[in-house]
Amino acid sequence: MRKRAIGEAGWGWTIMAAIVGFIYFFPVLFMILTAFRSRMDTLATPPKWFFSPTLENFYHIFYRSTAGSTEYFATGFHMYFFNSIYIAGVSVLLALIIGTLAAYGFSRYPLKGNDTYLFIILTTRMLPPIIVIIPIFLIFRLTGLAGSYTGIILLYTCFNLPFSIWMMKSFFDELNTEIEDAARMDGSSERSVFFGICIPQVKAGLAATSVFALILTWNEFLFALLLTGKGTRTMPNAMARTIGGEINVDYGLLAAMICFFLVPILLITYVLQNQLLRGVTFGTIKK
Amino acid sequence: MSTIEIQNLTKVYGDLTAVNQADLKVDSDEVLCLLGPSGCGKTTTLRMIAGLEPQTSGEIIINNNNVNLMSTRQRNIAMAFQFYALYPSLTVSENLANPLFADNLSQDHIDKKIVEIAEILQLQDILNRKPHQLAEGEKQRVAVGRAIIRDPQCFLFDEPLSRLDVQLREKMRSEIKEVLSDLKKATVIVTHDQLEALTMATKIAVMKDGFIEQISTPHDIFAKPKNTFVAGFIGTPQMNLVSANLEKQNNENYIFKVFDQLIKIKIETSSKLSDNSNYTLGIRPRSFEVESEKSEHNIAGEVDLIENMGAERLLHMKTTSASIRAVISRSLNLNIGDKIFLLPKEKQVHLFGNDGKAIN
Amino acid sequence: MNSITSFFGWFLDPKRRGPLLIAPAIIILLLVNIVPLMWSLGLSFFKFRANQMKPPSFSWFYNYEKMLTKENIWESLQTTGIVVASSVFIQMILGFALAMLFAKKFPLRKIILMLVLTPMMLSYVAVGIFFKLFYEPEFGLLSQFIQIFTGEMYVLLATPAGALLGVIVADAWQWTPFVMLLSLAGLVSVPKYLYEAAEIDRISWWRQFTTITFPYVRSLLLLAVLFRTIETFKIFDLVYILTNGGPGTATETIAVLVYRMAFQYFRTSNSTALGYILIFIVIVLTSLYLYVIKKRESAEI
Repeated sequence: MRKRAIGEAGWGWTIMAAIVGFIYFFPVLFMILTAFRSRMDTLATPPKWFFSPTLENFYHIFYRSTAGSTEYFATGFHMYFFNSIYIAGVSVLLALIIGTLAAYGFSRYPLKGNDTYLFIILTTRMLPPIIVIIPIFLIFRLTGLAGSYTGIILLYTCFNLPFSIWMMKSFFDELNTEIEDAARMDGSSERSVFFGICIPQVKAGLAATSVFALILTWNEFLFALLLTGKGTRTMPNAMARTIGGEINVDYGLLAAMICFFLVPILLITYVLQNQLLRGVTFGTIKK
Repeated sequence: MSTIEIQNLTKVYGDLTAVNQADLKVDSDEVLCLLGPSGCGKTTTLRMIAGLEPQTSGEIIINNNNVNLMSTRQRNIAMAFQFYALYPSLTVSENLANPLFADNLSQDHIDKKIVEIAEILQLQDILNRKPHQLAEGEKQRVAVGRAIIRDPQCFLFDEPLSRLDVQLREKMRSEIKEVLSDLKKATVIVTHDQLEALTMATKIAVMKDGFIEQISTPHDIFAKPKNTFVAGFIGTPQMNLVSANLEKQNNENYIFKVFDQLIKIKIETSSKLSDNSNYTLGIRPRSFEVESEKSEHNIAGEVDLIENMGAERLLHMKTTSASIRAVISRSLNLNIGDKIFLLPKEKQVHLFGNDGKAIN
Repeated sequence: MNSITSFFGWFLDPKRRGPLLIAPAIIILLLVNIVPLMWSLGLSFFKFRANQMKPPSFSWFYNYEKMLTKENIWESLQTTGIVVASSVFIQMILGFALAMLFAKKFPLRKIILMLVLTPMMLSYVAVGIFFKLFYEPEFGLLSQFIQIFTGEMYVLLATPAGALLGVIVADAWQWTPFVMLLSLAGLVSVPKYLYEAAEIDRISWWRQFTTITFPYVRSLLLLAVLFRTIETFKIFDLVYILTNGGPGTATETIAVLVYRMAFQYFRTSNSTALGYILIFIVIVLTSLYLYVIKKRESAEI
């Protein structure tokens, strides 16, 4: 038997994982290919696997002509892109901070109605958007938040809080408090206990929460549709506009947009992977 | 027959050579202690014997079988971890029973063994508790119990007592020693505590920076250190290591220049010493006698500090360049600033060459 | 001076620390949720149609009664139930299996992991549209693949069962990475030395799994099931794009029904009531679930 440290594997494993990964990834691959295909090739039967790639779809993201005319106009796409990044980034960050603090509070200083509070927090996720969309829209209109960054960011933060809280609480619960108590006895302030001891140990939780919250917020469509205005519109909105009617969907253009839109998330997830995969190496023993 | 042997064992992590061509041999009913400061490579060596770390090169032979290609499981060894590694979701008795499942024993047999081990290590009261409900000492005993409940090829202990307080440590030391002598299997213990090593081991291997500096019995490690590192590492309070220049020699009498003073020491050695060369003298604090007058055999100095060690006191004597420490009895009345003279007792001076190696 | 320090002291009092930490979260959630909740809850007790000029009239439980007695509600519920149960089930099994695949360190792990995570990063709209393309009888991949064997075009979405399957597969495919990620975070948090001890003790793989791995992963798996169930109950965009509730009402989940009622038929108050029935069901299910979990946890300690 080959000798290897526990928890590590070699190329055989890699091959197996690659096959599984590829199969799972296939639909996405198809989509990416579509982005590089011309319209004709996409709808060809039997499927054309070998085609000459074109960048025209990507070009169309930024410049398009209306049907029938040959004039191209800029679509202002970069604005959508920026908005998406800004809004998603801020709201996820907020949800992470507020949520982690709250999770810490729930975990370390449990109140009498702890379970109830947590449950209520959970129920806010259960509301189908359809139901709350109208009243929220009206309120936003009334308070002047419609079309502003503040409003939508506030809303998204609120969407991401329940998961953030539940997830981080789960991680905090698993920590061994002995280390914290020891530090407290040594005179460390609560703040340094929190930042120096607890946070490093829950990095995996922080990473996972960020990834999920980002994905959710990034792709959110319904509320963005109604609550963002001229300057604050996000990507999903832009994508929807290209669909228009259901006939003659420009799959290529859509695929290109999706690919483009995927990139930031892919990057961030790749970066966060380190935190996600880094396990707790020693010290924290589950209670 | 249970033996462990490692030949030329090396482990390299990138730039760092954690273990450098280590050679060891442990016979059954021998207890070998790997002793050394943090980072010297002792735990790495232990883990390689266990198979938890693949070695870079070298041979590991257990019971005359080369186990290089064998997985940890196949090697059939027992190990007690530094952090106990008790299974958190199982009770103590379940923790103890776990290693026995692989041996295909009947449930009765397993239960009997649990009772047996529980008695030896006094675990009867806590058999139904889970690890997080145990005190440190109890966890330690369970970890040891889990190791000795089996009939493995050999035993490995990684810093078994490092997390216990002093009294518990003493108690556990003797308990473990008893248990080990009953079991009569080759055992390797890793520790950074020399007292542990000196009391529990039949052989000690001192390691530093990946190298094994010396392997000897506890007595010889103490009495005949092979180099300055071992000499300085073993023994508390620490040995005084002073540099000396040989002025003159006459038969067995050597005159060294130490701290601007000349002292005459009688040394029995088969090696030839060269005049005007630098040597290091090693004298343990307990090897001094305090005298009130200067002679050609003692070192002069002034009392700098007196530390109270309970039954004895540690005297720091200041000379022109360095301090020498000596252990004195409580009854001796000395004050800071007194001029005293320290006489090294006969045959208790160790001589080391410029390279740090002992000269016999 | 004194009053200022005592003012801050009030904040830093250990007793108050807990509430202080959770206050911001609670405040935001309340602010954003409570008014819409009140509004729509209130509306459900009135009769109101958005396309008529009649002002809403208070009618107690009229809406609820109407909703509960119309048969297609129960059909809808059943459909929703099937979708949720199947999709979550698939996600859990696949997700955990994938997590185990990635729990070991192997070369290129990071890159391959990214491949598997991508489906989750797509929006429902993207997934819906492209899966619809796959399912297309004329030039969709699925149909063309089957044509190799049967020579005929295959229309997955034509039959109720097929449509359901189509929706379930699309949803499960998209969200399995979620479960995988959570499971992975759990698997990876198991201290390595426990596995080493298990190797030394020569414990069988299955035993290692049940006694070491599972207890660590359990809480995260629970979280995964919880959130996926809640989210899947609300599923709308995907179904709408793929099948529009069809064929007929075969894939009309509750959320789709609510949408139709509200925006196609303009039975605004009815739909609100229906929405709240949905919420109620989810609340009941979730509480049951949490209750069972709690009981199990206390039984073990």
